[in-house]
Amino acid sequence: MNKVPLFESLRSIAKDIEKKNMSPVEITKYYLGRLHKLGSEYNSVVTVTEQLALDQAAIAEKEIMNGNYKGLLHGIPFGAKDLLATKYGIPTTWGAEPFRNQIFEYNSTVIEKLCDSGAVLVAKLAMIELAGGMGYRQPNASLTGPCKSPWDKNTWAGGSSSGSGSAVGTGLVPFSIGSETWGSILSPANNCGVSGLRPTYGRVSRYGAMALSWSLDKIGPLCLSADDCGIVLEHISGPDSRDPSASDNIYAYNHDMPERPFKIAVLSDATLNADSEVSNNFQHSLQTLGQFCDIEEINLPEYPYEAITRTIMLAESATIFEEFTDTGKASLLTAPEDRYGPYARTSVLAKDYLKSIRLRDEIAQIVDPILSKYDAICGPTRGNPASPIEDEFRGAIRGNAKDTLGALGNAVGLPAISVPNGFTRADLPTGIQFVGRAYAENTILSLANHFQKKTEWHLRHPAEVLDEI
Amino acid sequence: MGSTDNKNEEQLLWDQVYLHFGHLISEDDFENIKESIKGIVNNAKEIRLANLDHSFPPLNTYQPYRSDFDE
Repeated sequence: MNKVPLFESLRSIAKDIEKKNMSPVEITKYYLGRLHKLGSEYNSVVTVTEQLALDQAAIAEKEIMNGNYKGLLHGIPFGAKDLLATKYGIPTTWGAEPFRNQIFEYNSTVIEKLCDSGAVLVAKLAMIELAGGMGYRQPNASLTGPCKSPWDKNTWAGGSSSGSGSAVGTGLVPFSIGSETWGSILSPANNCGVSGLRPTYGRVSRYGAMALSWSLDKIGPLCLSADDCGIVLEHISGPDSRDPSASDNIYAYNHDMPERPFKIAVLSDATLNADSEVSNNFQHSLQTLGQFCDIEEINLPEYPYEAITRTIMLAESATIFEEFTDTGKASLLTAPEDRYGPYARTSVLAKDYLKSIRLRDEIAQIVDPILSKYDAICGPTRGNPASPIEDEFRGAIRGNAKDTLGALGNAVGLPAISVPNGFTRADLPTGIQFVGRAYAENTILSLANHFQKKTEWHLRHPAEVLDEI
Repeated sequence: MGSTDNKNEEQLLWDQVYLHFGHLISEDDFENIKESIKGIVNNAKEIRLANLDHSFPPLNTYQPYRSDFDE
């Protein structure tokens, strides 16, 4: 191979493939090599789908040589969070020991769409067991062990789409697919120094994806840049008769939105509980954004955002995992707290769940007119960088964690993107998130694109993984 | 709701959890589950205190279903 695709943008790899400077088979073999060498070191991989990948790459190569180039993802390898069903006899473990050997006879819609676009599935990626829905409090809550941040193997990759973040950050795949119920795309994006897009609820079909909370779950990409996220979103979004929640709106990524005076809002308490370095990086980002954005401080109406989102998630997951809970399979999970986590949630009262749903409806209708005055609300993605791999990252009693943007965005189903916005003194990445109106992915992607044109944080990569292969 | 009421509710919810799942739960986890229930009651308390504006119609997503539309 004349050129190495490592940490190149999707557009750059696609251009080389289309011009036949790089072959899909060579690229696939290159990433398979990296997956074998580094995947277990970072605990980021469940299954390397080697034979399937080589077969798909050979088909892609033949199609391209015959002049049937399908588009930007044709011949490009990717990894998928291991909650997306795959056929071909490849296990879909949901990151959990009781499902280690689970095999589906169909592909999830997202896998199907990407493969139809000519993309090459090279790996099923590590995740927190059952997408973190059982109440995990520490990184070692996965059948593949604690997934590590590309920037320091003693720190956590974030979760629950841990492998999806880590594998992109270590250059094991050019892009990956994750999912978010509350924080599961944005947290790994933050901890791994990559870009992660949580689409609007319903933008991407969830057919064939493990359900944790049917009114909160979303599927989205983790990539090296906001532009890459937009490209992947266009390929995985769209209506699907097999998922009634999938929106009929067709999404087309507009990558060329000109820079204009954007208007963004910042919550007055945006950095209240943030580490000082996170807070400093956020302030620097605001200065950068100030070059092309009007920035206003706002307060959101008073609602118990976190309690509402948590109650919905607990109640819905209790019924989704009813059989799992009733049969005592939780005792087989890795994290001790996940083994008893399913039981307490069966005590959420119907009236509290239903009032949460009604409050969510009200919030959706109150917040949209506020959001309509801005292109996005922005804030630090997380209040802290990646935490030590041995540490608990939250307390036993849920209900005291402040994450207004995360709770609001996930409850109401608003899109958000996290991109790197600096590093700490310990060389750990931090992130900034842009939350937009429903279906306004192009607006927040444009904001993030222009931010990334003025910064170079997303172009930094861990030295440790640069010369491995 | 006062703290006594909270404690009573936590106890009632624990009794219910124990009734259904006592045979599956290790005694070592009793206190952990009670802590989780405390979190659930804290959330519930916040939700019950929130004012619901009844002028907003619920965004009901239920639609009657039939498999054919020949009629």
